[in-house]
Parts: sequence; structure tokens; C-alpha cells
Amino acid sequence: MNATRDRVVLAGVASLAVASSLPPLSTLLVRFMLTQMLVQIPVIFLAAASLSAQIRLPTQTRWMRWNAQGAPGLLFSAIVLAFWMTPIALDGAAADSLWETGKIVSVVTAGISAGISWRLGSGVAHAFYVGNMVWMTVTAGMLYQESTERLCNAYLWDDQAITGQALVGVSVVLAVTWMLEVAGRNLRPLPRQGRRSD
Amino acid sequence: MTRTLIATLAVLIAGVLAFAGLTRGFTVLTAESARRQAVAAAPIPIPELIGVDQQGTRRRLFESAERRVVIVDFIYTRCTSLCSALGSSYQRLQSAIEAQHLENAVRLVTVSFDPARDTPEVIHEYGRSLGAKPDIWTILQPLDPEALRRSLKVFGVVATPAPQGQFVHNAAFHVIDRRGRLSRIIDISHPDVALAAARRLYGAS
Repeated sequence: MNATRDRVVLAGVASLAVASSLPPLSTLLVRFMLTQMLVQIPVIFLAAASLSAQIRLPTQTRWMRWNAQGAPGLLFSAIVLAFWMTPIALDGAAADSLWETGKIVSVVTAGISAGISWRLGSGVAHAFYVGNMVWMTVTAGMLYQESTERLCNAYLWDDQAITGQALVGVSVVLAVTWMLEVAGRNLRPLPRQGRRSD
Repeated sequence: MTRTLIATLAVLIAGVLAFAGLTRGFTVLTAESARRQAVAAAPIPIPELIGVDQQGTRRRLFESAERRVVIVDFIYTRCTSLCSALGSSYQRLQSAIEAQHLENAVRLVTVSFDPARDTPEVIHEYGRSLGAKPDIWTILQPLDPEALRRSLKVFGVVATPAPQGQFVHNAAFHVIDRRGRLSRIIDISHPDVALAAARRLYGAS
């Protein structure tokens, strides 16, 4: 039952990601900074990450020794996402279809890389990755919020300011969710220990 | 572990290189500043743009016969923010050109990117209200929308329609050398720098 529901959700996210990558929806999403940064890129990234998380990995293969703790994989994914937060790259994607294609390919690759590498990493690797993402997103959000000039030629100033606020909001939600998740996992008492203390 | 270290280092180096490429060696963060840097390094030939000036005469954005250096900006006359600042900068530039007797060396051109509304009558009135002298300062209504679109692309001007018939757009002083090449893009807060660049370009060729 749960597996079926998961499969439906995954298929939904995947079709949404495919639609967001292709015209006419991609054209519409790229027209606004807010939808490019907070709808198109995250949807494509999350779809690629959650689909690749389903891939069953052989436990010990040669190539996995190149990706211990998922460190290079997670780093790659963080760098790609940071790249597509800079005004010059966003402008490029809005103005040039070659840039747009490059963006989609790289974000899909980053998602796959994160989906595979996340499982290999320990709590420390996860903390490093999530912390890095939150810090990057807050920085970009503050830059867009506080700039008095338009940083992208393709986008209006209002759009930029709202995108900045939304980026900060999203990263706060991301940080809190992750911390709650970690706390929930670590603070849950083991049933046996509970009985003993009675 | 060693392999992972190597892979991580490779990813890091590739990332730094990608960012260096994107930001022209960590010097620019916006498409606008990248463009200014690229133009200063390698001037770009501009496409021909023909229009009607404030006196109803056919004029070109760059008159190759007279070989004056041109300082050009792009506006729409109903603009209440950026363009009015540009208008007063151009008034000051016009006075400076007269004071320094540069009438034969430097020409000012204001191009409307909203030619449908900025008709010859409108730009005539606009030029009159700003005291534009046609010999020094041409206000141009482009005739061919396709040619205008091409020019905007080459000059890197983006004008996005906004509510109430307004536009949101970027603005700068674009300096065209005597060979008809876009040679410098200078921030609108520095008209003096634009004039100095124009003088240098006039003397250089």
C-alpha cells in the first residue's frame, strides 16, 4: 500500500520535473526569477534525487571507493546548485536556450549525484551538505533582497526582492526540518531501555 | 579513502574553474558587468539603426560620414524614473560639449525603445522640453522594430514591459567609436567618465 503510494508520488514528481524542463512550461517558469529559482530548479533536482535514491546499489564496488561517505558526490551537487544561484547564470538561462539546456542537464546530474551519495554519507556528511546548502541559499537570498539595483537584466526588481525573501524563508524551513528530523531520529528512546528504567 | 580524496579534490577544482569561467575570473557577478568588461576589451560593431529625429529628419544612430564619436542611451519618453535622470545627464553633457567646443567630435543620441508610442510629435515635444539641440543631441524614433530589436541585443539593453504601460529596463552610456563600434559602456552615475571616454576615443582614431 505504502509502496504503491510512494511510486505514485515519485511518478508525479518525475512528470512535473520533465514538464518543467521542456517548453511551454519551462519558458513560463524561466520568465520569473521566483519560479526559476524556487520551482523549476528545485523540482528537477528533487525528482532526480528521489528517483536515483531508489536505485539499488551494489554494496561494494570499485567505483564506490571513489565516493566514500558520498563526499565528492555531495560536493558536486552543492557546487552545481550554487552555480545556478548567481545572477549571471540565471540571466544566461533566461536569455539563451543553450544555457537553459546546460542548466537542466547539470541540475539533473546534481540530483542523481545527491540521491546516490546521500545514502553513502554519515550524519557528519549530511550535516556538512545541508549546512552548506542553507548557508548558500541564505547568502543568495540576502543578496537579492538587499540589492537596490537589478542584478539580472531579465528580471524585474520586485521579482528579485521577493525571490530573495523566499530563498531565506526556504532555507530556514530546510534547516528546521532537517534539525527536527535528526532530533527525532536520535532522541527516540529504544523500547527496551524504556522498560528497564521503569 | 585516498581515491575519495582525489575525487573530492577534482570536483572542487572543477567547481572553482566553473565559477572562474562564469564570473570572468571572479571579477563579475552580473550579466551587465560581464558585458561592460567584454566590450571594453573588444569593441563590437553595431548594426545600422535608422530613425526619425525630433525635427522629423531621417537620421542614423551612427553617421559614418561625419565620424563623430557617439554617446547613446535608450529610453522611452513616458518614463518617470531612470530616463529622467538620464535626460538631465544628457542636458549636462550637451552643455559640456558646447563649453569644451566638442560639437564636431562628440554627438549625443537618445533612442526610444518604444517607437509605437514615441512618435515624431512626442519626441519633438520631449526634445523641446529638455532643450536638446538637434546638431548635438539627436532623439531618435527607430523606423524598423526588427532593427531596433537587433540593436538592443547588441547594446545589451533589456526593456521588460511592466504594468501601466511602463517598462523596467537597464540603462547606461554606450560610447561608439569613430569606426562605428560599441567601445565602452559606462554607468549612468558617471556622465563625466562617458564624456572623457568619448574624447579619448575621438583622439585615438
